[in-house]
Amino acid sequence: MIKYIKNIITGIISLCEGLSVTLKHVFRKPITLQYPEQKPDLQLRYRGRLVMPVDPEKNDIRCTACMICAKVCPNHSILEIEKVIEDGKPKPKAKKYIYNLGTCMFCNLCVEACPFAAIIMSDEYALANEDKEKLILELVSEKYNLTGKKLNWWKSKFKDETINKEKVQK
Amino acid sequence: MGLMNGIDEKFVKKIPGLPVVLTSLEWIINTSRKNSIWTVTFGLRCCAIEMMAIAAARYDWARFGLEVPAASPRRADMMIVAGTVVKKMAPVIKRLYEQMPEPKYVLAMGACAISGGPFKYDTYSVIKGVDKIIPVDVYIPGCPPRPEALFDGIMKLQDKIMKQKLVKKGVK
Amino acid sequence: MELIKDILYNTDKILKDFYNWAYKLWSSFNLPFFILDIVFYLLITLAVAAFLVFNALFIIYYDRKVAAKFQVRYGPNRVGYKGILQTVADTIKLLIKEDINADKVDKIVFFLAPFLVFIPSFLVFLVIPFGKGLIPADLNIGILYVLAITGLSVLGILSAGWASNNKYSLIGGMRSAAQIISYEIPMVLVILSVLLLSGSLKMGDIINAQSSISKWFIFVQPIGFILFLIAGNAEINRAPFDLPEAESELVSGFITEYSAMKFAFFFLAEYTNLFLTSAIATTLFLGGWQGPFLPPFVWFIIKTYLVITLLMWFRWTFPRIRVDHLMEFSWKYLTPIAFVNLIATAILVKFI
Repeated sequence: MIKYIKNIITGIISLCEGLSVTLKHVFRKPITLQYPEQKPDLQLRYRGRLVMPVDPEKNDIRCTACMICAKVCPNHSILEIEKVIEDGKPKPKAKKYIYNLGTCMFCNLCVEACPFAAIIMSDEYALANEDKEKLILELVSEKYNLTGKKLNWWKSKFKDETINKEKVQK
Repeated sequence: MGLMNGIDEKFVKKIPGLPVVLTSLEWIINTSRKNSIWTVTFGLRCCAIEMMAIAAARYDWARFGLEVPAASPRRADMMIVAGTVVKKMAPVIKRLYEQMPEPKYVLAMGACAISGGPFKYDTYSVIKGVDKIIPVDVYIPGCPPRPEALFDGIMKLQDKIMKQKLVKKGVK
Repeated sequence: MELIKDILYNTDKILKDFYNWAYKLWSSFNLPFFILDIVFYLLITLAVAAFLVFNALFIIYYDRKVAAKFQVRYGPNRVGYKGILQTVADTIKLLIKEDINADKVDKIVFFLAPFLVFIPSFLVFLVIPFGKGLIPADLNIGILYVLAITGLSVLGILSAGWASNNKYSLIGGMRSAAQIISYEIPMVLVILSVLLLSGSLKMGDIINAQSSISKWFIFVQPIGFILFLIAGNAEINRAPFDLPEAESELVSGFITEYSAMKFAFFFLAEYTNLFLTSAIATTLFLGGWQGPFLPPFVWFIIKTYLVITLLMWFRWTFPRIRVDHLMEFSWKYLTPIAFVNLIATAILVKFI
């Protein structure tokens, strides 16, 4: 009998505790990020979709169609790279770079493997599409322009390389 | 249902004033459909975690009127296929899709549901994209996509719903 | 101005005058009086039905907003001002959605079950006192009528579970029947102890017995009020007692196979029942429509919504309890406490 009454009392106390916890939350300000109006703050190293940005100094892409990224991609997301050698230039250049967003798992391996820092993961995350065909992108003709912090970060990747080149020439 | 199949254009043109009524009716129907997409959530793998995140307080899909728990496919409007569809799961997905009442929509979330993703090559057990078994309305790439990306997909679906027409050509 | 004030504060007198005027007018036409009665009852039914639908629409919206508040988020806020038209959009969508009748369901029972669930909750509105004189019919067996009619909704739930021809539905329906029957007992005992204090089954008399705030039965029967809320919450199958439609175990219980408008009827009945339980709690314990300054109708709505908020607070706090614990809770705890409460009240009434 004593146990029975004890049960009731402890039960009521624990229920009241639970109620007080939820009551506290009623008076808090909502923490919701209202997406289409408020955008999230992304980190510098956030991995959105793959882009091939235009180097603002050379006004051209940096890709040489060496195919390392395509070989290293675990999902075979980089489907086709077409190479073109322009007259009087030592380096070949990519003419067509086809990338399948549908299979990409945003692992950054292609970016790490690229010896010329020609490709980079951008900030774009809103990529939904009604058409599956439109998920296959062509990156060269896109002429993507990086802006802001991401551009500086990208530039710092191949800055050292140009310094080295100057040293060799001297 | 007559509304679903569309009304014949020739018939509409015969009656004066009907096009205006139908356009406003269409707007009302599409707006209410758009704002009350109840979901049967089909969390299969890691994408399900991101899908749960948009239900929680930080992203809160209730803002769009999506939160009504449709545990049963019988009253769902949308199916979010979030994750790898293996061959054993495929019949279940198909059956759940067939149990949903019209109009129904499907979101394929993540690389696995779109095309098989990391399992696209050299796997015997994975369906290469959920669109091989059921029709998909919106594809949301990502591995897994951010909750914002999923919202973006839902908004693309809402745009698609707003484009639905009551009056159609060539309906008998 | 005077007329509006009269309508708000002395509704009973205005209604009586209106009846008398209508009868006088009718007698000048030399027509039988029963036609006028039928017209009046139809008008009352229409008014109640309109109130029920709009009220249910608002409660659903309110429930979603309160849930959002408890979970530190915004809730629906896209359709209309702050999402006020959200439930309207839901209703329109449900109206035009495909209505699925599965192949092997019991067709007639499957069709009738939503109405069997909904009609009892509609009938209970007959004895809900909305304000001074604003009661469709002040029966002298008012509260007994409520108990008798709410017991009927088990039939609808059970037939929905049976007709669906689905194991989850059947288990949900059976659970619901067991739950409603076992929680009826503490509820009736609590109502009995209230009736001992008021000395009448009539809703009007129960309210008149609580004429001032100090006489409200909540202060005489605090345990009774809590027991009534718990038992009432279990009666209407809401969390934490929503075992008949437990998503994690039974998909969604007896409404698994229902779609579109049939499902909307279940939804409507659920939220109407929520309103009814709160309204009866208000009438029995919180003095009904009585209160200072504001019109009686407004007081009734305010008190009812307070109780509804309290029930929602329970819903968003407690997890669903296990089915054997549910029965244990009713038979081992609620019923004995309700008995003790009843006996104590009887002694109190007899000797003091």
